[in-house]
Amino acid sequence: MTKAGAVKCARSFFANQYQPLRRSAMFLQTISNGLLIGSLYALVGMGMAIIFGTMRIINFAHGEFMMIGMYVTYSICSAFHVDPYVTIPASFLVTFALGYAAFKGLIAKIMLSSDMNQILMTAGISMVLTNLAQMKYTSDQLTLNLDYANKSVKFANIQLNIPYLISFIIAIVITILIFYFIMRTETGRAMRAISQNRTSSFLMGIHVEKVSSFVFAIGIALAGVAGTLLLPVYRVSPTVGGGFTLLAFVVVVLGGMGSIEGAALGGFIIGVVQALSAYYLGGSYGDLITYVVFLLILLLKPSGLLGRSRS
Amino acid sequence: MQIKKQSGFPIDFKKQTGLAVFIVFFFSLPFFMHNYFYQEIILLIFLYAGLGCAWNILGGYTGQLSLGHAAYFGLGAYAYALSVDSLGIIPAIILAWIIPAVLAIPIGWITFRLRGPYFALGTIAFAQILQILATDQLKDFTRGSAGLLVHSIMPQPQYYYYLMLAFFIVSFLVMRSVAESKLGYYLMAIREDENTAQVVTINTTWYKNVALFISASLTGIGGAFYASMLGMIEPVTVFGIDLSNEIVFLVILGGVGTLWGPLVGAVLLQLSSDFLKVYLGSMNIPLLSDSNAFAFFLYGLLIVLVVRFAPDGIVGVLNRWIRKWRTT
Repeated sequence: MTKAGAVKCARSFFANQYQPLRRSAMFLQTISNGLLIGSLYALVGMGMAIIFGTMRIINFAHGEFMMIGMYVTYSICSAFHVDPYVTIPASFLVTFALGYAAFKGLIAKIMLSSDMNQILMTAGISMVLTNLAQMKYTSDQLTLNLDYANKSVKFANIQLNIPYLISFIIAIVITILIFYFIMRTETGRAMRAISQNRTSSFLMGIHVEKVSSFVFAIGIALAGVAGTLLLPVYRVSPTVGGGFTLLAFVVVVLGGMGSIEGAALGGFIIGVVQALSAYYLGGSYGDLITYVVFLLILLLKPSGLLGRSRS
Repeated sequence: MQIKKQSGFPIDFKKQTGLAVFIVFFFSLPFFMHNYFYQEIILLIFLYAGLGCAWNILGGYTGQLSLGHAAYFGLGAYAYALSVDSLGIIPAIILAWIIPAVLAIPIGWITFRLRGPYFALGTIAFAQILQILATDQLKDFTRGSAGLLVHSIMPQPQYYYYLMLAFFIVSFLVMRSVAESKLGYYLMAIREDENTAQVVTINTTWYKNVALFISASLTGIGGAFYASMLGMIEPVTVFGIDLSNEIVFLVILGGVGTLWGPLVGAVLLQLSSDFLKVYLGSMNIPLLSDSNAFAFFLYGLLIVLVVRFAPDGIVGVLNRWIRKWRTT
């Protein structure tokens, strides 16, 4: 018998023998863990969905901007010994400024260029950011030592890790704020108009480039804030971004490209799917199943769960 | 009206001269340049240029932005590495040619239903799935991230220079004959406007699959050569997204859909990364102590600047200058 098989067998043996209730409790526990991490995936994915929806650009540097947010938080926390959640405004501002500069200096000039050039431009930006971080911080994996990192609250048989829980609540609040911004403010209305029809909204007197640059910066800043929220529960290294860029693609395609509520939903679904498959099948199956789901969605329902049909 | 007389000879010598000079020069280069360090840089340039030519068939001439060519590269590398001990060198290379090409058929069948950015994302997903499988689920075969030792093709490491030169030339010739054939015109029609190509009765899915088939088989052989040169492979190097990106970067940098674009791009990237690594490594600048990261930083900057200021790539810009110079 292989080692994995033996472990699985032993696990099911103990589950049956000693704790008849354990199986359903673990199921709920795994789902709640998935929802907690899924809220952060949703935040990253929403940033990418906002950018894609408004200007049809696939941002290959999204995870790298998240990595910048993580390093901003790390630097401030290690210099001033403050709580990581206090640094949210700082990482928001830094990534917002970076996103605005990247859009004005680089992205805006190739808006009308081919898909290939847009992908290449953002991939080039991601390389620049990754290696800048590596030059500044070396390739060590860094982590914050929080005194409440391993504490958890118990809620109806389910253990909720405190940093995860705080990040979850903040992510939910930010998600609600973003929805309010898109649905209720004038800029949000302009943004939705641009995503429906760029040319018409230009003709209706919307300053397309101004709104686009703002929206791009907001999308990047969402990734940066997600990085801050992730740092208490995750290690940061210069190459951490690549995996999250791919994850954001999955989330965005799952929800329907450009659909912001779809991306939020997609983030939670991917979080739960990853947690369940990692628990029941073993560590690396989480990623494997994620990509298989991604391909299936691309093939069977390319418009995603909540998306409009693609043009 | 004057009709140009066609020479009846099958080989057009004038067209071949440039390539012949190129081959003779680089074939004889090791006889008067004994520095193995420089030879290795040139050898890697040939490998990447050959991979770039293979990618250019699909990405350049057909316009299908595949960001998952590491899938075929890794399949070729593992096919060679796993079969060479039991089958011998030649059958193993043939396997490294056939397996990626055959697996390209279902992958193409699935991903060619997608267009534009969706296609690019689908190809990434396939390469990632293969990487995860090789790392974990198929660990019994591939030895996972511990790495697999590979039997060498060449008796002496110096001979790899000629192997990679041959790989580049074969890859280049295949790309050129595709580009200049009827198939190439179909592919370019698909690139320019797929719907119109369909209307004029080009079976676009079939021709895209043909392009992928050729591209994947060449990439697989490249993977086998790379594996045997390195002596050890692991999933993250041969299936990783960095490799896929590198192939795409060098072609777009050199010039997408041009004959010499892959070579120009490979020269630029390899020189910028290798020489910088060596020369910065010998200097002692505080922030630049990690010369590897600095080289890749400049490499990313180069990509950003080329896309920003020369979206047609280096060869595209040169062509434009030549045209301007001729007309004035």
